[in-house]
Amino acid sequence: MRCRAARKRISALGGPAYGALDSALSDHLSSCSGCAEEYRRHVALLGYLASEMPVPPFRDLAPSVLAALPARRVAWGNAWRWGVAAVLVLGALSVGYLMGGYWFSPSSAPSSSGMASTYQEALSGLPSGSVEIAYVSTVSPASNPGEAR
Amino acid sequence: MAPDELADSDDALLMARTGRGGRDAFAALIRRHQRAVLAIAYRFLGDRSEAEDVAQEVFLRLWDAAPRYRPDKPLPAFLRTLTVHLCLDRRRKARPLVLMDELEPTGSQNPEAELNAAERRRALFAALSRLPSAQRMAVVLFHMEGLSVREVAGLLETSPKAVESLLSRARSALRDDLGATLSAQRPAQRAEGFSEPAR
Repeated sequence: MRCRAARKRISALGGPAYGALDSALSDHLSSCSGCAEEYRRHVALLGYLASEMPVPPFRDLAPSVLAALPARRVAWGNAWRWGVAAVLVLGALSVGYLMGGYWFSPSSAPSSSGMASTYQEALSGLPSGSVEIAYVSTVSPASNPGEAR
Repeated sequence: MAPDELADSDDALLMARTGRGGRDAFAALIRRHQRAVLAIAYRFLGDRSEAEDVAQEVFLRLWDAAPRYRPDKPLPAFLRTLTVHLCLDRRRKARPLVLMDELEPTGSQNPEAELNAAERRRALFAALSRLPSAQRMAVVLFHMEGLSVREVAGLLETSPKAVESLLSRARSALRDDLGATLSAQRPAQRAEGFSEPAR
């Protein structure tokens, strides 16, 4: 075996294809001091690689990662709840309208100014002095029995 | 769910909760996997703050991917893939790394041994930083992280044969680069260092 081939084989040691020194390489190493030294350095290198790069203790990354999270997924994650709530509210309003609640219809609901004029019209048609009587009659006798008498 | 229960839950469950916006579950995942992510990033990049930046980016991408995550792919492999790609990407864009600015003590009681170990680490890291990125990543994954050649090939998106070639060239370059340091090592350390991985 030539030195060039031997060194190539040495470099492959430590990988999966070469489990141990083959006899050709072993013979070469016993007869070539340069390659034998190369082999010793290679063995030392494998030891270095296995043990000389310890990972130091790191701080806990969780707080900083959580702080850097975009808020969008959380918002979209809860969006379906808001969607369901909106559909339920709209459904309830629709049912109320369809069941004939005129209070939902803008045309049938009397406005406050309309209500005032209706009352004025009604009162103007009464004979003089009866407005007071009309007022008293609207007060429940149970709530103010003394005045009603 | 209580913190203890979260810590005991498997990855698939935690990912499902993370996908629905569960921050507690996500924090438990980070705490479970951050060391593995940081180890690859630190050994490849050689810088603590850069490693933390990459790890943070890895976990942010995990958060984004969580709603689409399928439990048939193990989470550690998914995280390793993200880490390797982000590290290579960063090295492609960034300045060439010169040297780790801080080298962690090994905790040895012997100051002289500690000094020697620190020198060796410094020399090893300097030699590693001079390797091309693919060779360096192959060395980190195979020799330091203990992955198989097939796994490394999957992560580097190449063939096992190509990984063997990368490793062989990297070892040859490191051996040449570290010549004096390696020759000065005591025989006992050499013998201890050589163990043929059965992969």
